[in-house]
Amino acid sequence: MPFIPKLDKNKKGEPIIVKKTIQHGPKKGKKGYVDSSGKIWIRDRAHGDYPDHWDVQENGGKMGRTRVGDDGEPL
Amino acid sequence: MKPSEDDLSRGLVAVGSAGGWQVDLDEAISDDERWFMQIEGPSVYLNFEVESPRVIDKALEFLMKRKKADSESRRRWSRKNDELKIGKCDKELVTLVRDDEFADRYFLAVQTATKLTFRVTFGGKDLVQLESALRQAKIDVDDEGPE
Repeated sequence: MPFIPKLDKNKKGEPIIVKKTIQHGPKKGKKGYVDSSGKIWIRDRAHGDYPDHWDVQENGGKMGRTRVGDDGEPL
Repeated sequence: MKPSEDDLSRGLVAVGSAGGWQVDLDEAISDDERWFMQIEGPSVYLNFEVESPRVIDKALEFLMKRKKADSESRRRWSRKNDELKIGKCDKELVTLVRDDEFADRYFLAVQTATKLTFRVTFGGKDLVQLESALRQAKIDVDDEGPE
């Protein structure tokens, strides 16, 4: 599950990775990186049995999330 | 009327990460010239508007200042408190504060207009990692060229 960024253009016309705010769930308010399918990726630090990973939030956090490791594979 | 921060589309300008710390700099993807910074540490997450990407340089210089004094003069560390305002908005003051007791201890302080105060203490390994994250973000900013 590699991260494919959603790109827009900045004021210089250069590509820029779009960021969005998580609107639902415990991570509400955090800014994450948007992928090409509209999911928001936020960094989550190691906790419990999980190493550092990415929380990929669907629909702004409304529809849960998938944990993805640094190798791009779901945990 | 200026759009609220939530209404703005944002894009990533610079990022730096070291240990448990990450620094992001975003810009508004619109005609508005607005910049936002996120600082995340082991126990803190802050998002706030900043004046310009130069804030990263200023923050680094501020944190590095203690090392300069130690190596240049070897004198006793100045007991005077020192502060650097890094947030843009005066109603939500975000400030880096240098400790006057320990040269490697700093505080990240947030105070709102209603006097709600939030402070994070960092030093030692956290300070080194935050500096490293800022340095990486500075490389991205420098690569972007002049504003």
